[in-house]
Amino acid sequence: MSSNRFNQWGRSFAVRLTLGYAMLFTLSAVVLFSLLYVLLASALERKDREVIEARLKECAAVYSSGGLPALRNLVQLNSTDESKSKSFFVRVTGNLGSVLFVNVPNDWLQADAASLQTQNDTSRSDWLRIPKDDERDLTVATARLSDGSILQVGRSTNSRETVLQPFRRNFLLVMTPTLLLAVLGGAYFAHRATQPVREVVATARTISDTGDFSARVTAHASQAELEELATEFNRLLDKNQSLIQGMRHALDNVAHDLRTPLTRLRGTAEAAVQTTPDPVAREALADCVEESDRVLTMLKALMDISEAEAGMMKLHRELTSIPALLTQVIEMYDLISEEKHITITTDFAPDCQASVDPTRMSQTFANLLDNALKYTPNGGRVHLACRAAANTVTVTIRDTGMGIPATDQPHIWERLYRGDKSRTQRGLGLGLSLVKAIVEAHQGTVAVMSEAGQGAEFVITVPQILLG
Amino acid sequence: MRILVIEDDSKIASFIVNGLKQNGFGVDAATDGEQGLDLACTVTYDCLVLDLMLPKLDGLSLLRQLRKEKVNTPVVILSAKATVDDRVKGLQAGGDDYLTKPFAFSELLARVQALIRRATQVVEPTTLTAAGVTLDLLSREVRREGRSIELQSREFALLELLMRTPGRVVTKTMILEHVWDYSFDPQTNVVDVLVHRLRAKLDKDFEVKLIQTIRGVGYVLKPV
Repeated sequence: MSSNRFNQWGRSFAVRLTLGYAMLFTLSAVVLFSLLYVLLASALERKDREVIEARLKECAAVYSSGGLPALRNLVQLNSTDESKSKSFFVRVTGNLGSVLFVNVPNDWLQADAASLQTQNDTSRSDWLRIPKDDERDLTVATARLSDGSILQVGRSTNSRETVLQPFRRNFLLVMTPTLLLAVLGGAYFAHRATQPVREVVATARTISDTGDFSARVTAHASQAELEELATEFNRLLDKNQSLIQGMRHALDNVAHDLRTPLTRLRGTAEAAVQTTPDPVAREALADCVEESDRVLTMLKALMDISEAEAGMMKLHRELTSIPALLTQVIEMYDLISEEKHITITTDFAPDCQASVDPTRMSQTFANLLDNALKYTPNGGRVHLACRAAANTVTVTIRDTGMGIPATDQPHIWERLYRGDKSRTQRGLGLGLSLVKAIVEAHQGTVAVMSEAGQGAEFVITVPQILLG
Repeated sequence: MRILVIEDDSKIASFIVNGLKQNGFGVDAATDGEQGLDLACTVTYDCLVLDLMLPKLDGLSLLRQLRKEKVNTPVVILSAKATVDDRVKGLQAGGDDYLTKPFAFSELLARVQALIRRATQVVEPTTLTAAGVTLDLLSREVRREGRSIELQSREFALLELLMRTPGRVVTKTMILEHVWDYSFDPQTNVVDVLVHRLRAKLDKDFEVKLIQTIRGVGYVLKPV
């Protein structure tokens, strides 16, 4: 049950739309953020390099004009001027790898300088970046001087990590509400987008629940495609309605056209049966009357079933006490149950009220009770119960008859179907179809439980108050 | 007693007219709406039997016109339209009773008689007497040739129905409506069972049997 609901939830268009929107939104945010991150990182790097490069050029210029002493002067001048900036690492390495001059600033450790030493020879690129600790990197630029010695200028720069870490931390902080916004926004748009679809569904449901074919979907002019859907759906409903009206008309006409000849047949035979002296003719005429009554009953039942199945049955609903209806029906049949020595027992819960058409409901109860009595042998028992549950009333009619074989059970609701054993009994084969049609016209259900030889139990469930 | 039958189907009209004549009514027949309206407005009838689907002028219009002309003759409507709505429409147009085709002639007869009785305001008797049986509607006592007969309430109701029109047929439908107040045929032999019981109490100890079954038609109270 819950997995089923989850499946349904997963299949929901609105949910998928929401998720899709949220994903797209989040992805865009991530891309934007990453781009910003890369740009920021490279801008920082460029800024560091510019400063070092300027110093490198300065040193190179001084060296080439004044040689090592001039360079030493420059470096010392700068290292005393602490306020200007952090001092630079400057090193001049001779052709043979001997260090001609080195200035290690205060915030550099000798070890740092030493580690640079080893990389010195292999350095092919002009730039070196050595992570020093959590907070700082060492950035070193290298240039070959005109006399073949190597000048290196370095500086400890703020580690990229230090700058970018808060950025990344903020990224997570920002993404949480962004994701929330994405889901909420997605849900909102999905809701807006599926609104007309839901209206169509609600209209369709109203029609199939109440049989009121006048319901229509209101079109939203602001959403062209969905307005088209609503318009087409309404057109379909119009067509359907006119078809149903046509069908109702046709049914009425058929019934009318059958009733007139039946009236002639029955009336003529009925008049003759009372006047003819010939007993053989009298029997034949009486048969004519009885058979025409049978045809009429079948016609009525078929009409009722057709109407109910097509959702056209007009129900005159009123709030009715179901036990009172059942009691009336039992009263109707108590003579027959007495004749067959069948005990009818009842168990009616109070407050079993439902909004039903009392005549139609009596008809279904009568049909089922009639069946129960017909198929229960002399001395048997028939039990009727009525229970109210959440929004429904359930009526159970159980007998101790011969039961219904499992092979017959799926077919008993079909028109004119009669199980082998019931063929010998009088009846039309329409009773249970009519029961089902009427109960379903009330938005109820009817079910049978039976084992051959164990009796049968029919259960009718109808809603107490019609919803919608 | 004079009755006008307005019905365009000649077969149906013929058995209604003949049946009513056999039961002692004077009967006129009209085959279309205009002719029917003319007759109904010029001749005084005790009751009208009116079909709804008529040429020239349909039954409902005829009825409205008739009531507009202040003709208050009771009207039984005959119609092949069977729905509750049709019935309501017929009664609202001024009909006094509504019978759906096909119908049992006995029932039509009973309804015509009931309407005439109501129109002439015959005082309802408190005791019914027929064929040596007396039925007291107030004390609910039944006697046959002085001998008291104990009847259960539904048996009493059936006997009352039979004794209101002795010698005339009572149909199954009439019994279902009168005894059980049921408006649909429950497709059972419950009426047979009830008649069987009444017969057992009323006729068992007597030479002359009073309750007769006419197959295909109904039951009648008549000494045989």
